[in-house]
Amino acid sequence: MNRDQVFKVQAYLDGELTRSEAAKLEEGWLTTEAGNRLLEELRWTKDVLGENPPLQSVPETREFYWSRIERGIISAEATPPRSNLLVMDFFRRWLAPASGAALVCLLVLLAIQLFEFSPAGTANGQLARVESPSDAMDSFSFENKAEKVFVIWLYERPSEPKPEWNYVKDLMIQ
Amino acid sequence: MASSPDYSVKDDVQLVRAAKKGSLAAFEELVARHRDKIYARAFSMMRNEDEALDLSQEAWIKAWQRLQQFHGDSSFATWMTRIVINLCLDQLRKQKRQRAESIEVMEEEVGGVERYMAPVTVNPTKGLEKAELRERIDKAMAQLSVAHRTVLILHEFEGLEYKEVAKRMNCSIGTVMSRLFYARRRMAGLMAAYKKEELNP
Repeated sequence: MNRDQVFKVQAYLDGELTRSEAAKLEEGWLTTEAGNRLLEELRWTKDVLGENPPLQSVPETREFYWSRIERGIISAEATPPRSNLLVMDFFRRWLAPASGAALVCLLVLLAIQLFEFSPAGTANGQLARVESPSDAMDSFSFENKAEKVFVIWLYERPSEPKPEWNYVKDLMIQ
Repeated sequence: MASSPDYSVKDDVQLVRAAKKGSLAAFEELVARHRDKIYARAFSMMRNEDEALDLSQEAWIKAWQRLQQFHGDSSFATWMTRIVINLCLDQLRKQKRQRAESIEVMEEEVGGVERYMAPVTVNPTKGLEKAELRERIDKAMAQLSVAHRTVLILHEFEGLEYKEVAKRMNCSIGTVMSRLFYARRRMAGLMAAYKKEELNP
């Protein structure tokens, strides 16, 4: 049996062949015993299934089954229309992360501004703590590019709390 | 005070008309009338009671939402059956994506043992009561692969043509012919085997 032949027998049974194709098959392969037997088997399966569609009853009472459908209908009607949802989806997908990123950038800029040290009378002055390899000494550096000044302030590391930024700031202003 | 109409005496066309105007009571009557058929179709495709319940109820909700699109070109039951079948097909596609392709799926296209099986000559349904016959058909259907079962449901029970089946199953007409052929042959083989078991227990 070749695949095309058997599929043609089936298409013949299902009425999917043109009249000329059907006639050709009737005069050809369907005259053989193998062709006939296959056609009979396929016809039997088709008939028995067509006459006996599956029957299954809902395993719930009418009221219980309906109550869930009714709830689904009511909740679907309470949901905002799709057009509103699309706007919300767009906001959630694109605008929310973008505004989040913008907020982070703003905070970073503010933080830079806040921590940038500009004592009175010195524009663009920057104070930075310099890491010191010595346990006894500590240091700060101050740079003002406009004034072309670069100062390193060395001091003895106190045993008690370290000097506050304001303390150093006062020293620099003096 | 106006009493509510007795929807149980109205026909489907009248019920659909009332439901289109917003009557949930009329729609509930349609559900009560056709719920077994819709559930049976979902069950025959999914072979799982919970899934069949969920999908059949989802189909009714969708039907309510799309009721204005129903113009009576087919019967209401046919229209409903198409909705539940589409939902089942979507669900089966989701499940298929989640599991690995098996050898069985590959064999669906080329035919496994069915390709070489000699045609069944005995009548496997002879002497069977209607209920017994249905039981055997159901048992055999449960043994088919998802693709074979689906093609049989769409073609034999829904009466769809090859091209319609292909559209719904998202495959070529050639694949439909192949699946349908091997599904039928497997059904015949299984039914014959049950008959043999009955004759030689």
